[in-house]
Amino acid sequence: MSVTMLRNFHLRLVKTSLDKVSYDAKKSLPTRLYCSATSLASPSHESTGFFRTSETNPVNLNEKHLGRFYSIDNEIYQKLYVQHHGFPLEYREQCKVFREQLVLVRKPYLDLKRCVDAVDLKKPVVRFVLHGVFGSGKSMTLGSMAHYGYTKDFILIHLPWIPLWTRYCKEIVPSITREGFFDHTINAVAWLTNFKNQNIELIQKLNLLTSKDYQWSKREVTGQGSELLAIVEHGISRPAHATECMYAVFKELKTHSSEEKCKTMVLADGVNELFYPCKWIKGPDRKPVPPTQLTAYEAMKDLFKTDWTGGVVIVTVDKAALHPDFRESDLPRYLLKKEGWELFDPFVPIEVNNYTAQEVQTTIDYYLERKWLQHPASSTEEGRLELEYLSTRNPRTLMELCNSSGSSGTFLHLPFLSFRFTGFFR
Amino acid sequence: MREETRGWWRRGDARGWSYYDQGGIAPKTSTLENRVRRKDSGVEDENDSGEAKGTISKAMHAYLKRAKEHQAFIDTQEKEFVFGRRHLANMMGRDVEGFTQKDIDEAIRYLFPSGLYEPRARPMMRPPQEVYPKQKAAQFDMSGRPHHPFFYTAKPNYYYLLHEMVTKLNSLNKLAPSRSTSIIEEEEDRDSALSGSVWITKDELESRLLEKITDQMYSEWIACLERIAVHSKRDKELEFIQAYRKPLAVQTKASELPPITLEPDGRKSVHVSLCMKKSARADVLVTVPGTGEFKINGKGLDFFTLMASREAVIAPLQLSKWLGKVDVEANCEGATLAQPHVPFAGETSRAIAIRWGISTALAALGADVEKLRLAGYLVKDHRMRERKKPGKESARRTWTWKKR
Repeated sequence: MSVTMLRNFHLRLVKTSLDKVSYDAKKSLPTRLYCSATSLASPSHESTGFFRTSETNPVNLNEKHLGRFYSIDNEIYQKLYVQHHGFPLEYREQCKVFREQLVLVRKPYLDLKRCVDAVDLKKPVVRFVLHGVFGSGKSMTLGSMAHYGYTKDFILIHLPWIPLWTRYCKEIVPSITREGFFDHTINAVAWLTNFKNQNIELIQKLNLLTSKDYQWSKREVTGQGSELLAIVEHGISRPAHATECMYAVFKELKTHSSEEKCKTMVLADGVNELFYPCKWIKGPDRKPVPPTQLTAYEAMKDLFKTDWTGGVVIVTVDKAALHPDFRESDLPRYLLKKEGWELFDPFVPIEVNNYTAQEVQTTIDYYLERKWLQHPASSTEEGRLELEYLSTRNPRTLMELCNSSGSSGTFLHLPFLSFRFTGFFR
Repeated sequence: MREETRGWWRRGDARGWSYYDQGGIAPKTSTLENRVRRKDSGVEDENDSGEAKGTISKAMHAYLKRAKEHQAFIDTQEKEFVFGRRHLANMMGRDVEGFTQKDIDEAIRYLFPSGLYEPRARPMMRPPQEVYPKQKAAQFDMSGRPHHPFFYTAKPNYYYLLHEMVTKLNSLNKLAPSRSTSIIEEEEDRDSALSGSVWITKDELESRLLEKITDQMYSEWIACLERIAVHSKRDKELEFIQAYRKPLAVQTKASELPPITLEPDGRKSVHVSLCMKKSARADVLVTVPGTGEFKINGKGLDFFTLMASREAVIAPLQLSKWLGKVDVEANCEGATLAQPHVPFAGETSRAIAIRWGISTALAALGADVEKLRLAGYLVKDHRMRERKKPGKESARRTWTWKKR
């Protein structure tokens, strides 16, 4: 079905619904012919836009829903995505304006979902690496997988946008237990809070217990057989121990998953940051701290190893995670460097491409329906074509172009100046 | 009453007075200047005999004196010019008789080489008639009575021209009396006769009329002309209209456009080999029909990070409504290379160079040349980067002033 046919089909749908309305009017029922601000504020999920699906369960999504928007339930959205950058900031702001959370069902997402379904959890963990050009939807695909994992009763270890741990790091302190290492405090507390928020019901249901004693300090101990959440609670109440607690949680979950007590889904955005020197984070001597001396990063690297079973690891590699000096290629071999490549080898690469022509049109249709695009020319053939060409079908650029307050690609060359990286502790 | 008025100015016409001395609008019959000269030579003019002798008005007296002085000055200059030319011919070892203005220019350029940038500032030798501004001839006869019937409007030439145009319009209206039949409705038909040219500017009109006019007068004149230009019977006055139009500066001729090549797969393509803007260079290959694919230095349209650059590249295609229907392949280089701290350096120039290439190729492939030309896409931008000056921070910018 070509784009034009599709749009005509859409027009026909609108027309029929209007006809229905006027039919009702004949029966002297109070009707409103035009969409008003009120109707925009409370979107009805039964809306007849052909670009939506009524399916809200990610498990049931399949090829039938390809190229359509599915809605994430607001309660789940608040739980999984809002507190800790589950989705990119711009997208979350847009959701706030539209008062609904729609995600486009795209091919890489369905591929990934099918792969995760097919994974044998008794074998060592399979690593999936999402790659693609900047703004092509890697983080969105990764974020959508969190919804899927949540629905399928995976325990989520969700590490959204790893570069935040160095670039917008509030504080690091020398590690108590490890010589020469540094611990994050506030960042780790924020992560633990989010972890608790995302998984509390599932952990309580599975009744996961600690497998060994944890001596945090002289007096503070979490004994063997106490609840896993006790570690999390301790980390939240003691920022100085938060990173160690995080590491402990990782280790515990690896053990439990290997013992088939639970399933774990690791989601990490921008993992290539782990293998590059970082200029932003400085030690007490005011010199940059290498990533190999960060406890949090060591913990994450430990998570990506294949020494455990009963889980899946899904990560993205992104040029934007790195300093502008290291942005020559979008391919994993370049971005992961030798060290990362050896850590992840073997992995399943999944390429996330830019939108197809039809996906662009669908997105524009959605923006038009939300009255987000207001220019009279935006609904014409020429206007749509212009948006398609200017954005080069890149989802992020399209979003910024359609967003009148957006930078419209001004900072495309410097993604770390983009909004995405500034709102960590809002 | 009306007949009488008409008769009054027609009388002047019949007696052969010139309304437009040196104005270039009406044919010259006898200029006052000629009459003055004839008087000097002692020959009595027949035409003047009808006017009262000896009752020369003060204004006329002053004018005669001024004209005489001017003429004497021009005569001296002319003599000097002739003498100088002969001298120059001798210096160059050439025949005096066949020494034309072109030879003079060459001789001056050879003998007085000048490095001055502005051509008008360089040394020159030209006939005095070209060098010194013409003077307006007397507007009145010996008795002080104006020649021109519109003299007391203060802008006689302008108002006479308007008068003439209204007369023409009235005569056209007689041929097509109702308003519905007298105006060409279709815009394309309107443009057919006038495309490729514009009305003369206010300055040009002033120099033709030898009168200063205001902006409002100019716009009134244009409005009147346009009314004639959209008249259904305008063909009768086409010559008159064309006299006030001038061709647009840039005309794209078919001969200047690059040739069309037939590809082995049956598609047509045009290759524009050298597209320039500042120090950016590009070559563009446009193939039609295509799928709307862009290939710029091996990448897509995302080769350009700035939206403005992307817009510039697709603009000619949008204008001709060929976006998505042709394939574009371009290679560009030059301008400054992008560096981390100057991210967009050279990007815009490259985009404009490619835009020119695409527009030219589209024109060759049969897109609407007039649209592209009016949009300015077929003009090469010859501006270059201005050099840095000593004593300045850049071309023009000065350093921040500090007292000490």
